[in-house]
Amino acid sequence: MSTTAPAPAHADHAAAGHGHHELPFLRKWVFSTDHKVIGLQYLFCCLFTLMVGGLLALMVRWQIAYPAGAKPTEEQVQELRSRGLTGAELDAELAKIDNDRPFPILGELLWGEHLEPELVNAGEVGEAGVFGNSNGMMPAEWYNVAFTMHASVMIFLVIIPMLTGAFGNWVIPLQLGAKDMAFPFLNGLSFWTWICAVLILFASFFVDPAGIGAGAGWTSYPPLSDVVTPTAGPGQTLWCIGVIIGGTSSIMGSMNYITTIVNLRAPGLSLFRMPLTTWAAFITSILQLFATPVLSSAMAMLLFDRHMGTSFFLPEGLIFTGETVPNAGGGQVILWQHIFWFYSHPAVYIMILPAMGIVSDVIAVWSRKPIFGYRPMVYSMSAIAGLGFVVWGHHMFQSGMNPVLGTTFMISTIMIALPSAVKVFNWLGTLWGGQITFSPAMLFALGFVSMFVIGGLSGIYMANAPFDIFIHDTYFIVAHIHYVLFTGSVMGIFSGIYHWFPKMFARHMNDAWGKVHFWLTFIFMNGVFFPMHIIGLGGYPRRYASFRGYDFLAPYEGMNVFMTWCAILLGLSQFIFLANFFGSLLFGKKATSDNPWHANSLEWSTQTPPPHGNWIGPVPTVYHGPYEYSNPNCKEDYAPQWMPMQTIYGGSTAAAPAAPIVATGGTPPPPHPAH
Amino acid sequence: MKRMHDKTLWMLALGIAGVAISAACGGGESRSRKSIRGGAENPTAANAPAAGDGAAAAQSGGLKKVDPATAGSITGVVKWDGARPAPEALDLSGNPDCAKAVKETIYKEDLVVNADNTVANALVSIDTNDRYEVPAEPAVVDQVGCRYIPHVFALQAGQKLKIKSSDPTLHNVHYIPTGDENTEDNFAMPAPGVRERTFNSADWIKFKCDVHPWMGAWAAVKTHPFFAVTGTDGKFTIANVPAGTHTLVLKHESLGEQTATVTVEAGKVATAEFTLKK
Amino acid sequence: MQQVRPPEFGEAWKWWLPPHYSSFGDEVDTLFHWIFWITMVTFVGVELVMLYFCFKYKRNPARKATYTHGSHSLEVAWTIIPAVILVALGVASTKTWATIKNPTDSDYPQEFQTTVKIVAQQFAWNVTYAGDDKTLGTDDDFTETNILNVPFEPIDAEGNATTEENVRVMLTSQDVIHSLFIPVLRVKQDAVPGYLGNVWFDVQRMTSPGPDKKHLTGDSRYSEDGRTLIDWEESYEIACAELCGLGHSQMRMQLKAVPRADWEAWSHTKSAAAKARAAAK
Repeated sequence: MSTTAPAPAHADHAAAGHGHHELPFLRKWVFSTDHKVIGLQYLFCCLFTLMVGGLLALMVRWQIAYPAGAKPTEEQVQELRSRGLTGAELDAELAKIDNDRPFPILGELLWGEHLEPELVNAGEVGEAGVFGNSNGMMPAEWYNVAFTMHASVMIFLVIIPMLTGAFGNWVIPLQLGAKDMAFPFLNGLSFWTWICAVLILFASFFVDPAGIGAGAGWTSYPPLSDVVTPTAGPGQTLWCIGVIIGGTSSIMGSMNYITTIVNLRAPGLSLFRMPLTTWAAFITSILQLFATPVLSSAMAMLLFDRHMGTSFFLPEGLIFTGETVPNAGGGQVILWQHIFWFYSHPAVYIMILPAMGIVSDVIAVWSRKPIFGYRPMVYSMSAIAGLGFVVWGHHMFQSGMNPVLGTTFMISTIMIALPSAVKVFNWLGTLWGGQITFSPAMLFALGFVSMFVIGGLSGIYMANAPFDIFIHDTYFIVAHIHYVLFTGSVMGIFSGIYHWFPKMFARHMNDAWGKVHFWLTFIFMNGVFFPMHIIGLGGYPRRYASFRGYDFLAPYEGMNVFMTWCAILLGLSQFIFLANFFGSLLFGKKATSDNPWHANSLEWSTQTPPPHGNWIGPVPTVYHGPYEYSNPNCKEDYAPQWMPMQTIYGGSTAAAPAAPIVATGGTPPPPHPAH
Repeated sequence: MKRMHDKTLWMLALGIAGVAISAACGGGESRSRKSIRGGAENPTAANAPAAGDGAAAAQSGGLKKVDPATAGSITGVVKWDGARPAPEALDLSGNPDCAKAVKETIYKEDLVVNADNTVANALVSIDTNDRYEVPAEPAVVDQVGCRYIPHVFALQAGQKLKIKSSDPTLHNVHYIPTGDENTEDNFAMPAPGVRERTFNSADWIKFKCDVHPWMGAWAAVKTHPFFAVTGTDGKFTIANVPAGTHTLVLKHESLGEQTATVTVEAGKVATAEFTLKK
Repeated sequence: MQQVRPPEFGEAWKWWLPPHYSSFGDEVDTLFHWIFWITMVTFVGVELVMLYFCFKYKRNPARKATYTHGSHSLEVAWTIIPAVILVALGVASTKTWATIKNPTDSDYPQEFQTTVKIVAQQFAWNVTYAGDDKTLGTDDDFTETNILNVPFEPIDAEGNATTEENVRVMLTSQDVIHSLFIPVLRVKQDAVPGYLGNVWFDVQRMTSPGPDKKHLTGDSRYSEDGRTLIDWEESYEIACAELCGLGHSQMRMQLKAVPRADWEAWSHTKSAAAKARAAAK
């Protein structure tokens, strides 16, 4: 349907209005086709999966700080010596020292009672936990599951659906002036498909008596993930299925966003009048549409290898525990890495571009400034997306890939720092000369910019192939990805939530607690992730269940404990957010204005919260770009897109309309179809 | 048009969610662990009563029980024919924590010939599939000094096995059944620590630590208690054997199997002898 | 080439890169230092500017925000300048990369004094040495688990190698992907099943005390003449850097670098025993 085709707007409005009132609860809030409801469903589900992913992160961190088998410390030995113990007596006392630290509460619940060393030495076994009995301590095989699922949950069930599902759904049609998505049914289907992926991925924990789900890392390199073994059993299979289904949901969503953005823009809303959040969503959707099928095909091949006797990734003569793997032969191990990273590198941009879009909008609104270099921002996002498809090899510098390719990928990867740098400079340019208000949304946006710089710059270390030899697969890369995805994407998500909350729920979040949440998050996340650079420089390999036994890792024990406690505090700080979020939802200050932040983009033009169909009556017409802040020709420091500047703000004498602004008021909009 | 969409969405969402949930729950209950060797654990088949003739044994809950009044014992020795192979010492310098934990030199254990030319670590058992009562006390295998102790051991199907680690280093226990009924598993040992497992079918199971490749053990799982493992004197004694004629089977990890026939009389000691060679 | 004296084990290592003992370690670390300073200047610059803007442009009703949609010349400047720096960095790195990894490059060593084959498995390294005949795949080969002994490359106090001692490792795996990671040599290469990878390194060690009477590691374990030796109990740790299963963190190996003569003696003993065993069978 063309955006300019005339249609009887009033009839449509009436229909939409009636439909809204007649909808039963389940149709309205559960199996909804309204993009706003679906967006909020994603938002709430992602808050839940975020807690699961966060808990897994804490368990991972706990294991790194307190792995099983801690020897008596020097102080403990000295203490015993000072009591006059020597020889066999000393040994006996030392054997009684218990330095194991089971994960609080969950440790004993999952892995059984923790017994004194004396009892263990006597062969006693405590009461078993849910996942069997290993003295309350997380076993190494479960540690692999923990970090695999932490990454999978955070990537597939939190960040991607939060950014594209929650914000994409909720914001895109509103910013476009569309009454809903192009395919509302597909939209609902996409959400419920994603829910299936969530259930299947979570189910992978429980298909093995010891809770051994997928434990081959979120990258699932074959042959580790490709041969059915006790530690890569049904959990790994479910993981593959879950990821395929999650990918299907992504594909449905991205097709919908692309179609919506191309076809359902409000009259006058040209592509280069779109807010950057929508631009980012557009580019992200294109990335998703091209990249995700590749991942799905890789997962399908993995499943075939595992269960149907094919050998896509298994070379001849593969020996597992003394026996030749029967179906191995003719496959290529590195093929997986090429296919996987062809998806997964763009996936990193799928996870950061929408956050960049959100942050751009937030910074413009809260510093009352037009985005500095709007077009360069769009071009740089496109460049990041385009280059994103030709840099996957930098994950494979040490994989045995042809070293000549290493040089190629090094150069292309280094080039991707350029558009990222351009974006950062443009954000700084936007701040320059602004009227900055440090609202929680703005604080998180500023946090994003300052921390994304670290994530971006640390990327250059890895992009440099020779130095990557040393830091590849060490904690340096863990630091890098978390600086991009936590201090980047997650900050962007928080920023977006604080920014759009009044529009979503017609209530305000508590500003003071929002600021407390920001500062605690900011401090503790640096406490968690910054030292990772340092231990990475020391060569600390990632995915190690225990550093015990390595002399060269021993110096980092203290730092690991520090990071773990920062992680715990970081986790606790998020409860401030949850309390604020849900408390404000129920008891927050009521929004008195439809446009409380005096913002320009179309989502602020409608009622609060937006009704079914988004606008009562026809959708607004767009007269100019979204970033007309502090235009000297206007009396007010903003110029909503739906107001012609000449008529509403023309000259300093014209009175700017005070909020609330109702879309139907002000200008006579041309007739416009709702769907 | 719109109505139909709504209905379809309902059905589809419900259907997919239902399938996912049932898959999750079903998977959770099955407790199966297929490995590359195939075969899935089946706990219900574990203690299935075996049809027994009950000639010399009383029935007890479907499981046979030995009547001491009608039982005798078997004793014997496993001899070595030929020159005694020199024990091959293991170089542990690549694994410093093992080197620290091990006080004396340790040797390869795939064939241990004692100084008196007898063979250690040979399993001798009676060949029968009758199921006998399972002892309540668990069998124990320990990991100490980066070795499995004992190196060869036997236990009954359904009997608990305590897998201990007394070493300060991390081991993993990887057991690989040669039969089809029990399932392979691989797990890390808390150090020190104890984990429990039960095997439900007769089997000959390889235990290994993948971190310390020389560390290996063999476990014989039997349906009955009539087994013994030779020690440093090459001798074995199987006590409390029902009277009658039995086939005695010797099993050695690197030298295969031998059989002998032996007749046991109540209250008496029968003897048997095996000779192994390269 | 002047050998940069690396920080010693212990505290210094905790906060910085570990010492390096290979001939290319210095090049790798130099690249690191370049990147470090470039990124540090950028980082501090950006953060300071941001903080300054945040304070300077705090909301103030007396002032109006500057109305601008950007600056073409600024955009060009901050695209071109980083581009030049980054490309220069990339070009500067290609040579080091080729030296370490690319066998077709002229800087890649032409000759290897020692060749070993490593077959990784879950969770151990099987190192096969060529033995007396210096050829792999013959009867006098011997295999050690988790022990990588190589001759070191003696260097004088100025840091010049007196003889070449390049070690080639033919690296593969029998089951899953592993990765040979030797932190102090700046070596990392995945061991990929079905593929025989090439890795090379050398271990440089001073044979005479440096100008400050200290040896390369500054460790008192060395005798006065700098001969470091077999009874030297400490050795370099080798880790597995690619997730290979539940024993991943326990998959390690010891690297011992000894003088050529001692290595030959050790190799000969082991090789003779292996040959005898093969003959007996």
